[in-house]
Amino acid sequence: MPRDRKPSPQTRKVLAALAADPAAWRHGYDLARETGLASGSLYPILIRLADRRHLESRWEDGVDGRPPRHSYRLTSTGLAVATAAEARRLVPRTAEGRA
Amino acid sequence: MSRLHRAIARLIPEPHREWLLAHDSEGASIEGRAARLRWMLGALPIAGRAIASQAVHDPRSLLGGALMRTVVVTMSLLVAAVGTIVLGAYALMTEHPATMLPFALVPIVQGAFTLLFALGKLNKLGGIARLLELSGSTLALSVGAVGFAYGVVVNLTPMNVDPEYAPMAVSLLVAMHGLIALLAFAPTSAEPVGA
Repeated sequence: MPRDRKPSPQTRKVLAALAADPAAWRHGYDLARETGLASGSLYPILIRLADRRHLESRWEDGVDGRPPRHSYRLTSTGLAVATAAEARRLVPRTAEGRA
Repeated sequence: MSRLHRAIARLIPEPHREWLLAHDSEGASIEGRAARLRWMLGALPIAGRAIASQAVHDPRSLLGGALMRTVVVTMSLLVAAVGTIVLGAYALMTEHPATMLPFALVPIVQGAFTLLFALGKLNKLGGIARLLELSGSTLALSVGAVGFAYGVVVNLTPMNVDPEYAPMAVSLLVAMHGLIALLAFAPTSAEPVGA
């Protein structure tokens, strides 16, 4: 069972992008543009999130002669992780230390 | 599918192979050659992550697969090259110490045989080739491990003022090669390699 560590800033960016509209299916390239991450950083994060069942994926039929594309969205546990990560980011360090 | 993705995808077992296909499929949506190239180069870290994930969650899936075979081929070339270098050094020496010859010949034979076996060039020999490969690899692992341990003991002896590291390094390489060849070929069925 993979350990649930505190997400890295890059993972938080991906989680935030996906959590902005949890019902929407997103493509890798769109996520890369939105988060500013290179594909070599983005996809390992997506793999890790999928391994932890925080992400679901599906293949979509290609349009205009393009190949089928893979798309992603958060699962309910993924959304909870994203919300928790965002909340942790918003809590000032000093308040976190006092709690 | 791009050539880079095709080459890497062969090494990665399911289910992670799908991530490479997913990454590759996005390439068609990217405008500009430089941006597309940058995107495609991301396949290398993705492959690294996929293999690491596979190794953690399902290590058995990596045994006996194309990835292990590629590692074996690379190591076989390295082992044979090391043997050739040692043999060259032996030939250039003014004195020819008899103990040095096995350190040159064993890696050459081991590396060359395993290389041919991994590439499927010995398939016509049938089960004998597999038997020789597995027994040879077991022997290499055992002898290499003993040689390495002996080297450690000898070098740790206080009387020994001139430590020898080369035989230890060759022994370690031979042992590692034997181990990896066993991991690559022992779990597979008795079918010919590459079939």
